[in-house]
Amino acid sequence: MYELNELEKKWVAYKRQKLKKFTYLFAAFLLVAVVSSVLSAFFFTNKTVEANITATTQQQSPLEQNISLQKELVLSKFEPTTQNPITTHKEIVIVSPQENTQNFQTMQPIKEQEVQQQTAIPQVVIQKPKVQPKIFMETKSVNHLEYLEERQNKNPSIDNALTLASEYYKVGEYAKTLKWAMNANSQDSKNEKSWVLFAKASYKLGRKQDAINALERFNQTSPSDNVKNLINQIKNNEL
Amino acid sequence: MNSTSNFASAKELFVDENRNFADSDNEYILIDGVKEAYKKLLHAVEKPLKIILLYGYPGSGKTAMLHRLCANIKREDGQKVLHYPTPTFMRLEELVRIFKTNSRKRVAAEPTFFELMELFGATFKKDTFLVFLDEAQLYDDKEMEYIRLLSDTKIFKFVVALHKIDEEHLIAKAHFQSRIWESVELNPLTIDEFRFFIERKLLSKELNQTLSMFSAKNYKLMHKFTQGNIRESMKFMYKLFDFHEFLEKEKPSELNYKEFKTKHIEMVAIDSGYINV
Repeated sequence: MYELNELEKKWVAYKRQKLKKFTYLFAAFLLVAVVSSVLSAFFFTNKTVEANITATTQQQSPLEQNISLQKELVLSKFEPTTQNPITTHKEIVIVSPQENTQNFQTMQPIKEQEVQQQTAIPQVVIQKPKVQPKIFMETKSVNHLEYLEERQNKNPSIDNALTLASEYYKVGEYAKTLKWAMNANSQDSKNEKSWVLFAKASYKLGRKQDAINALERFNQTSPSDNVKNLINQIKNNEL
Repeated sequence: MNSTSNFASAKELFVDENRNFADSDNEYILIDGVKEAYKKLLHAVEKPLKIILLYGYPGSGKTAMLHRLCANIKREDGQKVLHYPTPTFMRLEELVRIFKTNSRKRVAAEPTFFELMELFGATFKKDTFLVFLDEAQLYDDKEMEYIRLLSDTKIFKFVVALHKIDEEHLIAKAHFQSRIWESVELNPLTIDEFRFFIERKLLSKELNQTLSMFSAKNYKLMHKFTQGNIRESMKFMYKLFDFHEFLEKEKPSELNYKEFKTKHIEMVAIDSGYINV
């Protein structure tokens, strides 16, 4: 004899127990997932901040470059034109990276008479910079190509490969452009962009004929105006 | 045959087999693993070995195998087969009884073990005794030592069945290390063997309809509960059919005769103690 009601109750309790266990497991999994995503987000943010700091540090160089460019321009403009260096008045712009641009306004040129009295001393003329130095901020990650390559190695996709090829082409790394263009092409041989990048990189690496051959072969199977134009550009060395 | 009798008939097939060896209808199913072990054991018995060890986890089918082997063994000329399902062999009165049954010689009153050994040696020069000892883990060290001495006389050959948990203990004993020349292991049933076992049982009574109610999921679940243990499988199947027989009478709306419900299998597992709630 079986106590059906009793057994049924026990079975319901068992199912609840099982469900509870499953819920705990699921909750634990969810917790781990959330914690790991938060941690990864935290580390990623740190990395970006570091990258930005590096980028900002590097941004100082355009300023310096601008200033030195100004200096060079001014200096070249006032190169001695007469044979008598003593009577020559030199206008020298003293601009140092440490100085604030406002200083340019407060600094006054030395009077000509005084300069004449001090014939050996070149006249210092402070010129207002024609173009205010600008700070270009770039938030692009320094290692974005490495990141892209890592992502491509983990989850290979034609889009990633093409992006890599394109990015490497932009920074002038043509051998790597070739590599990723071929990688993309191996995934989809009909992809026009992979042929174009391959041809452009080949051309840049001095393999003009390879570039033309590749594009003509592609053009035979998939005629494209874009490819035709590129062939002409390469043939005429206009790339 | 209606469905009611199907569950009842199926239930009867899974009554503990060890209690039904006399029942000629109760088929000894040679599942792949069991078949291999059986052949190995049969072959070992035919060899001139002193002690053969048959081991496996409790409920793995050692007793049933010993019974079948006893019943089917091809007796050599002058060979006598003795089967001890319980540890009663190593008693002096039992040895005296064996001697008296097989010889007309007289035995002194209350002989010692060594006197009996000499008597066996002098009397049975050509005859041999093939002794099957089940539950051998229940013999104590002294009794085991006597068994070892008897095996050295070459008049006795032993087939010793014991639990695997005691295997190391037994083999570690110095007196067995050099004497066990063959050992046969019985492993738990795999899920396929379990399914085959149930199929063969049910088909032996032409319970095809009942058999068709089992799905692969059912087999998997039942195998999970019984862990491939033959004794546990028999017990579980008995309970399962018994429960369905009960449902059929008391709550027929619960049954659909197309498949065994997971719920019912789990309820049987709860009732049998496989699931603790």
